Amino acid sequence: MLKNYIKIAWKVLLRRKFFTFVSLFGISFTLLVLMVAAAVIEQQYAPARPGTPLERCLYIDRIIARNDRSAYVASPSYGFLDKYARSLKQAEAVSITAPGSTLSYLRNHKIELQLLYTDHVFWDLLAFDFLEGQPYDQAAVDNADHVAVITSRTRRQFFGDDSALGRYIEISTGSFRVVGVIPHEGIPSDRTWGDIYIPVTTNRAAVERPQVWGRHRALILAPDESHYDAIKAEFQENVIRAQQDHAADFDSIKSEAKTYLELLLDPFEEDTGGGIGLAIVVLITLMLLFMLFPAINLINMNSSRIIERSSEIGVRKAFGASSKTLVMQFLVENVILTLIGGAIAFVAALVVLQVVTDAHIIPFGQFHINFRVFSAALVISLIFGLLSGVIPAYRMSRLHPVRALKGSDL
Amino acid sequence: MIDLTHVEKVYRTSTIETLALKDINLRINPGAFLSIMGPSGSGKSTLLNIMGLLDDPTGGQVQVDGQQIANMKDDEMARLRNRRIGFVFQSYHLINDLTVVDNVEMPLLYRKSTSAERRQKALAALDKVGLSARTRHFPTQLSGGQCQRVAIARAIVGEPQIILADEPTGNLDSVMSDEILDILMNLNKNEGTTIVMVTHNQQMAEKTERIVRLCDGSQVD
Repeated sequence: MLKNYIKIAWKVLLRRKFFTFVSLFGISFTLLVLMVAAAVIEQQYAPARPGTPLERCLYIDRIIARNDRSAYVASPSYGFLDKYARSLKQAEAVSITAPGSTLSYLRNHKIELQLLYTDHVFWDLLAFDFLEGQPYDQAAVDNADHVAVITSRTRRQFFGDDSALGRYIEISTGSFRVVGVIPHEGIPSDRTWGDIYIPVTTNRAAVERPQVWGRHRALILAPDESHYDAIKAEFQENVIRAQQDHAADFDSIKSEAKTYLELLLDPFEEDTGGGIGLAIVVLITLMLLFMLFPAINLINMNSSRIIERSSEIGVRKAFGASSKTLVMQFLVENVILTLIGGAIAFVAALVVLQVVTDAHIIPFGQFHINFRVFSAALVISLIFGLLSGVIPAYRMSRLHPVRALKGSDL
Repeated sequence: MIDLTHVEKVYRTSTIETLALKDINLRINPGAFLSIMGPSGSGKSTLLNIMGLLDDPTGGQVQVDGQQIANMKDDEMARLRNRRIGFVFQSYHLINDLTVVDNVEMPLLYRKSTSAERRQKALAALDKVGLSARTRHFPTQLSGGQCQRVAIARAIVGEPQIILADEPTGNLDSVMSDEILDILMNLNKNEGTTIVMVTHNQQMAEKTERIVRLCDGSQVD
């Protein structure tokens, strides 16, 4: 019987081309937008590749220092982080980095490069698979050696297909010898993003800056998520100590170790715990709302399509189709429609994401389909599809055949 | 085969109550060929629909093939229609998007059969009505007479014991009408199929064994 349902459904979809087109467009476009949005959000805001140590990191990237004259809201300085974050006992490791940008000239063309100053711990946290060479070590950082790790994209820009090891890159802050190359697509998030990575100590002025605010941030590796609260509490104790140390300059100093999600959701608030649940609810609500409009449209179209087919329903009932059979037939039609829409959306998303990746619209963006989002959206589409079919089909199937034949009282 | 006892049908709206059939008592024996005649609005089609389990009577009892249809469940009625009854409608009611052979196969979809069996039976039914050469056509590519022949093939494909035909020649010219009547008479004579036909045409009705006349919902002879 199922084979018959599928056969009938296929014929119906083929013969009602306009309806099929509009339905498929609605379903596939909705799913496509959701998948592209999910891929972009994931690329921009995911804390790390699954399975890497960065997945269990806390971040310190803001400090608020107030006195009676002014308030400073900025990134912490290297000195502040080195003194009050580096020593956290609950943490497995702490890395201090600073973003920046620099210029380089290649064959008389000016190239702007994203720079990331890091310490040697950074490389333990990122756990990159090096394409060639290796990261710079503690000695190189301590000595402020002019060494660099570059990405595969930077290597291609400067050296083509040749090896980059031992070669020099001239940037505005000096000449740096390449000691390692990491895969461009392996960079997990904007917080760890750079075209070129150099020792944090090479910017001596920034490292020796006496103020508590500056341009650095800390990545704190926790043994696991259960240690987050303890690490946060320990850091708060250190912040109180910092406040005492700088009591002459500031009435209060505030800084927090936060998860990546907490940072993204409310970077200016000091307490973000309650905001996460709300943000997730808002995101899910938006997703459902986004799907609701095409779903309502689908219900509407299904209702008119089924009413349009009342004579056919009457004939089928006259020749032995039961109400249950007819409801099943319409459900199978909707399921097939949704699955085809899903398949189109999947292929379209693959194409769109590849185009977006290749076009470098978002620097360093590597967009991939999120299968969890795709599955969830497909299941929701199926539920809407089933509901949109089952309600009018049930109403129709309850009619006496003679009324369905006349197309009356629907 | 079909027994109607004190059958009554009332159509009700919020303001009007219309008595479409009153106190109809009718027994149709196996193998009979019966015509129902009467002016428009006399209840002919309503009576046929009740006989075919397409509509419920408001009062009275209906028995088909010895089975009382009151309180029958939807799927039981569907099965009874599928196995025992074939319909021919004045406006054919073919599904325009299906080919001729797919239209004819349709009743067999609702019973256990393989696609090869269905195809073989549908082709045989089309052969009986002289449409073997049109199996892959769509209804819109056929004349009215050909459409009605497809409808008859669809009605007989499941080998039902009863065919209910609601003005089967109402949309056809006299030549086509005669052809359709011949097919129905052959089915009745050669295969013993019970046929109940609603018609306005006195000449056609006179060719059947028995005429039931209705006027204002009542049986007049």
